Amino acid sequence: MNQIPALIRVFAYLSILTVGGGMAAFPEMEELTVKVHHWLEFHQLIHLYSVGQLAPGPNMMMIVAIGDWAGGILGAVVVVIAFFGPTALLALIVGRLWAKLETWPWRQSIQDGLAAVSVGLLLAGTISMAKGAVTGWTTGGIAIGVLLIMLWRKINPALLVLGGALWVALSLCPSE
Amino acid sequence: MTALLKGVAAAAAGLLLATVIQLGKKSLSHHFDLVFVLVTVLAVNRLHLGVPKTLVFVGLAAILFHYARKPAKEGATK
Repeated sequence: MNQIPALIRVFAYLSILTVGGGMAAFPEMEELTVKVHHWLEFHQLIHLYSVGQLAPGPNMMMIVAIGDWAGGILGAVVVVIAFFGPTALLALIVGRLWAKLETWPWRQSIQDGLAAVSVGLLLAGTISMAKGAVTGWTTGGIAIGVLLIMLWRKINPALLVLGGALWVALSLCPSE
Repeated sequence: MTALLKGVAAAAAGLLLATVIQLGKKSLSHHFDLVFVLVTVLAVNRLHLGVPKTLVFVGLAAILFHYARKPAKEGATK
C-alpha cells in the first residue's frame, strides 16, 4: 500500500517519456523500477515486456504486472491510469492544437526533429532490452532470425515469439 | 519455463529492432537524421544522460537543424 504514491509518481513520469512508443521509456523504466525502487529484477522486466508482445493490446500493458507486484490490485490499477492517462490527455490536446497550427513555420521542423529523436529513443530502449535478452549464440540467433523474417515478410509477430520460445526450450545449448 | 522466457525475450528483441528499422525508414526525412538517432542512442546507453535530458537537448538540436534547412528546401522546390 505504501508503494502506491511511488507507483503513481514513477509511471506518470515514464508516461511523458514515451515519445515514439512505450519502448522509448524502457531505459528510464529499468532505472526506476529495478535500480531505484527494486520492484523487480532486470530479467523479470525483460520477461514481462517480452510476454507482453504475445498479449493483445498495447505491449506496455505489462506495467500492470509491475503495479501488481509492488502494490497489489490497487497498484495495478493506478499504474494503468498513471501511465496511460497523461499521454492520452496530451494526445488529445496536441491533436487539436496541431490541426490549428497547419501554417505554423515550426510545425514540420518539430515533426521531423522529434521523429529522429523518437527513433533514437526506441533504438536505445531496444538495445537496453537486448542486453538482457541476448545472452549467447542461441538467443542471438533467434533475435537475428526474427529480425530478418520481420524485414522480409509480414507475419504475425506472436508466432515468431512463440517460435523463439520453443526453439530455446528445445535447444541443444542448455548452457545458456 | 526459464528457457521458454529466454526464447520469448530473444524473439522480442529481434521484433523490436525490426520495428525500429521499419519506423526509421518511414519517418526519417533526411540522411543527417541518422546522426541524431546515433547521438540519442549514445546519450542514453553510453553517457547515461537520461531520457528527459536527451529528449530536450537532442530534440532541440534536431528541430533547429530541420528548421534551418527549410528555406533551402523550399528554395529548391521553387
